[in-house]
Amino acid sequence: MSSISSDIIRGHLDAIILRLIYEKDTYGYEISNEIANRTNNKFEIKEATLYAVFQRLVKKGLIESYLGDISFGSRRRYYHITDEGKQYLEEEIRTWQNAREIIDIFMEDLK
Amino acid sequence: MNEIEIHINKLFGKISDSKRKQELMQEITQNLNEKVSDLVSQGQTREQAVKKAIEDFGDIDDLKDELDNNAKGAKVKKAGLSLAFSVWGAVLITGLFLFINYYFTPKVIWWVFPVFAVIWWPMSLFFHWIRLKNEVSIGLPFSICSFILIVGVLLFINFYFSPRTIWFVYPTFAVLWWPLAMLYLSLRNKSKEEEMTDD
Repeated sequence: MSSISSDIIRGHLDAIILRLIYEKDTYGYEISNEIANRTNNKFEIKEATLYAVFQRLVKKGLIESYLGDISFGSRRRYYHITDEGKQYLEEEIRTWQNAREIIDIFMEDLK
Repeated sequence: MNEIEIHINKLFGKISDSKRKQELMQEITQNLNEKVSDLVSQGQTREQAVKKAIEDFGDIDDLKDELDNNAKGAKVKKAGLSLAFSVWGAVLITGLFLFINYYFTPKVIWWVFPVFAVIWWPMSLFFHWIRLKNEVSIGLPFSICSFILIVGVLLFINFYFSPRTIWFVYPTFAVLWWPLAMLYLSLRNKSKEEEMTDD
């Protein structure tokens, strides 16, 4: 995957991760797995980045964390989307769809 | 401690300690252990799995920035609280001295002296707060404010107690070196930074 397209993705990581947490309460490893699976391993998120995004989203009040069942030595930390998180995600999706419409106009294959 | 924990401890070594950091290390260790176990069940050896988990983890700098930001936020808040406390304290003490002065000895104005001493308390905390909040050096503005304050008191003493002799110029001259030195220092630092960006 070229570095430019991964730059574009990086700009929307917050929304991507928020989307997965929106679908169900989940934890770090499951999210990185889910991203790799859904994209057929075309995009793999670095764990360090993932946890940085968690920190940021928690600070902004878009997600909350809680401790779940014990597995592999300690309790898993799960994330849950808040109402603000849902609002933010909706806005992000709308913004992206608008931008995509406009960009698509100019980004057809060259003839 | 397994290899994952050792690696995580090493990675987080350069991040200042906090409750959030401890929680995060535990969370990451837990998740990576799970990943290793998954990779092993897919047929990799344990060594391969650990190696892959550690490689996939990536660079810790983003995470460090987020944690440092959190720590900074807490520090600024604390400094803001002590500033608020000092402002109220200074206002109360000033009020008290004004009252005592004008109620018991209305013929001599002396409240300026204790108030002059008390004012350093909120003033230094204010600059401390600004420095933390904006990550700027405050040497120059602090020295200018102090200079104005000191000269103000000198003017008062001079013209209130000995209006016939103008002597405040001499101590003012001495105090002037403080902001001047700070000005020189900040100019020198600025030109140094410019040299560095030129390179």
